[in-house]
Amino acid sequence: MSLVFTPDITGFPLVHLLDTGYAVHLWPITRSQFKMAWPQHPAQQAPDEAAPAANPEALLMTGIVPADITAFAAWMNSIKNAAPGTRFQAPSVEQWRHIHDYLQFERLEKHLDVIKQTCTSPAAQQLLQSVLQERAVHTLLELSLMREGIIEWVWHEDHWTGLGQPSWDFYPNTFEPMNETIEPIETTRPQQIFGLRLIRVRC
Amino acid sequence: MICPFCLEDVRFKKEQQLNGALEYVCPSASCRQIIPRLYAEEYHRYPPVVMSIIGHRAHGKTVALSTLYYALSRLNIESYWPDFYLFPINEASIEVVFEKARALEAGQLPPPNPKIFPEPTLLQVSNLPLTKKGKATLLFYDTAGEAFLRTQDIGRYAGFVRRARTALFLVSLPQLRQQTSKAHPSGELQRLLYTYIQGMADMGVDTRDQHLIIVYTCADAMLTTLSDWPDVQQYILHDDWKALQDAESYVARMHNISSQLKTFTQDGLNAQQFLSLASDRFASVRFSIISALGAAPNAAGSLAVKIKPRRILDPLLWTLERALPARKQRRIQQRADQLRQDPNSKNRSNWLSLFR
Repeated sequence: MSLVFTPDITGFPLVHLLDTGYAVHLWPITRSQFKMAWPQHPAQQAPDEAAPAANPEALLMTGIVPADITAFAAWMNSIKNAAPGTRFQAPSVEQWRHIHDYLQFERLEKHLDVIKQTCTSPAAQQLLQSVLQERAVHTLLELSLMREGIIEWVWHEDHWTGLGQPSWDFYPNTFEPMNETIEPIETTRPQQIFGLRLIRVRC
Repeated sequence: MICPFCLEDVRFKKEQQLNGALEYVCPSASCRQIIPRLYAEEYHRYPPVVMSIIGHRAHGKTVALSTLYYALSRLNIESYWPDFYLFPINEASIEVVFEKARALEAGQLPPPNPKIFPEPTLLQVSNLPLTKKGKATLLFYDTAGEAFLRTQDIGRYAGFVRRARTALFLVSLPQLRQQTSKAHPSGELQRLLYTYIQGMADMGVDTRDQHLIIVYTCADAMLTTLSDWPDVQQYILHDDWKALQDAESYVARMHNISSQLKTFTQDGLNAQQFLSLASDRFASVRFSIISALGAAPNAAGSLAVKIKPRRILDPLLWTLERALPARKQRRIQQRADQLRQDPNSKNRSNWLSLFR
């Protein structure tokens, strides 16, 4: 298995999983990324007070609904100079779990230097710093916040659902994302614990 | 026969009602309640098991009970316990089971209960492990936590406790810490137990005839506290419903988790006096841990995600296990010892073997 890192147009790292043909954002979409696309989004005005400011999850965009994902992905896809022949979208449950499996065996020290180089925006550098300071990180999985992060919207067969394991300080839970999905009560009402991570696939 | 309303040991009488219907009635002068026909007529086929749930206000009694109803009625328990089914035997019980399940599915938590002697929820269960011939009528009473704050209130509002062979003492440590602003709220644990033991004594009941199960609720909010007890953490995080197929082994594992929770109570909560009091004043003391919802509700008391109950059947299984004959309990304990020595040992027996 081999990994390549490149910055996306917002200055955040994308991890290319070469044998799958897609790339994934190393972290869920942050508030600063979302703000570029949608400065007036209501969730921007009401950051989650449950997340202590020092914690990495405070920097992540939460409180969004699936319609926001579609809109944000469309914005990412609309920007000029984005990789031609590719598009951003939310991962499926299978893709999310595959990425999880992939990253858990990748040691951080092997990739840290190149990750630092691909954090080209100040916001990305801030998030990297925050994760390294606040979490015990040994693998790319731990760095990715797929665990000890938030709940991420994913697509499952014909509906939206959630995957992830929020940090226990942020949101006490017993979720095991590799065994079960997290079903929202409603998909149209913003939930403070739900955010998104995008993958880039070939069209 | 135990009247499910006044808990007196009586013989139900058949009496003609004003509408002409012939009904079973509790003969106790202070009760006189109409007894559900199926309860009276199938009393011996479905012997009653009083589920006695005690605990302070906001420690999760009502939520745990609602989730237990939800689990028994909606979570395909029958795929682990063949031919299992649940049958609420009066209209009020049907309403309770369906309404609680509906509310939980809609992300709503049940409201707290008033301080009154509660109407029982009566559930006949068939093909339930650890019961004689797999049959029982479970009698659930859900009263306000305030009923357990004063000794005289226990008799008045929670008199059902005297008929239970096992008391389930529900404790939310996160709630207790919040209420007392103490990291080690062992004093509050003791206080509830003092009140309970005194209240029972006032009713003429010796708690030494009763088993005590201390059930830690809100396990989802305890996981960081349990970092020195990784087996307990894993027990909550990896709720293995399939393991219920072999109920005897499942309960044997509950014994081992109980031992670890006892150590947690002693060392993690510095609650040695509480343990000594409980051990001396009850027939036996065991520990259990559950998360009724699987995750914390939001501040408004509603849920963002569908519930994922963890180990929610354990208190019920403890109640049933404590009611087993001593020789069957010993067998489960032996199984627990085997599992402790060799956690990977395959267990080939199933729960039916208990009654062979």
